[in-house]
Amino acid sequence: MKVEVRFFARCREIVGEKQREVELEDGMTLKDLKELLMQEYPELKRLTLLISLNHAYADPEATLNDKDEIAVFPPVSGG
Amino acid sequence: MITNEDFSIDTLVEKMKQPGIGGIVTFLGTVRGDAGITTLNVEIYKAMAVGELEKLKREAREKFEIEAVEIVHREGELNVGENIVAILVGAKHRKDAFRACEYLIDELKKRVPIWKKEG
Repeated sequence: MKVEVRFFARCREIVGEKQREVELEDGMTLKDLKELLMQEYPELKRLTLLISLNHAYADPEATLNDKDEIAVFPPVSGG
Repeated sequence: MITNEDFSIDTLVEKMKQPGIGGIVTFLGTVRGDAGITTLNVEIYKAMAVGELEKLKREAREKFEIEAVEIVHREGELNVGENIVAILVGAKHRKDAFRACEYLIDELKKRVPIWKKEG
């Protein structure tokens, strides 16, 4: 399956793009995806990473499905 | 609401006024000119932020006795002194309006996917 991963703020700068497709094996969770991304972009390990699934904060154990939209970002700082 | 353009707090207040409201509390966040700062870049994950803002407004209505609530946040590059965020809460009585307004800005800062970068 393929999921769409979007990156924001410092995470976007580290990855060097706003979004990309990631090919995953069936049954993989948000946590698995986070680990894959940290292997590929070791600098992400230095940050506190927040992750959303389909536009909402989600349980790291949530199983991913084809075409899900995941976003990876540092702690928010709006207002 | 998320916008690229500036907003008028007066217009937002006028829109909120209605006979059932006896007090409107507003919070207006602006770009502070700390040393070395000339601009602030505001980045927003819009598809998620819109939903999170709606959630916050729903929660405020459940927790406090309020009649109306509005949140406006700007995105893009802002100069020192410009508006960043407005929160308005209208209620029958002031206490719940003050409490709800503080709750909303505190939670917005914790949860809504918005990032500010100084330039």
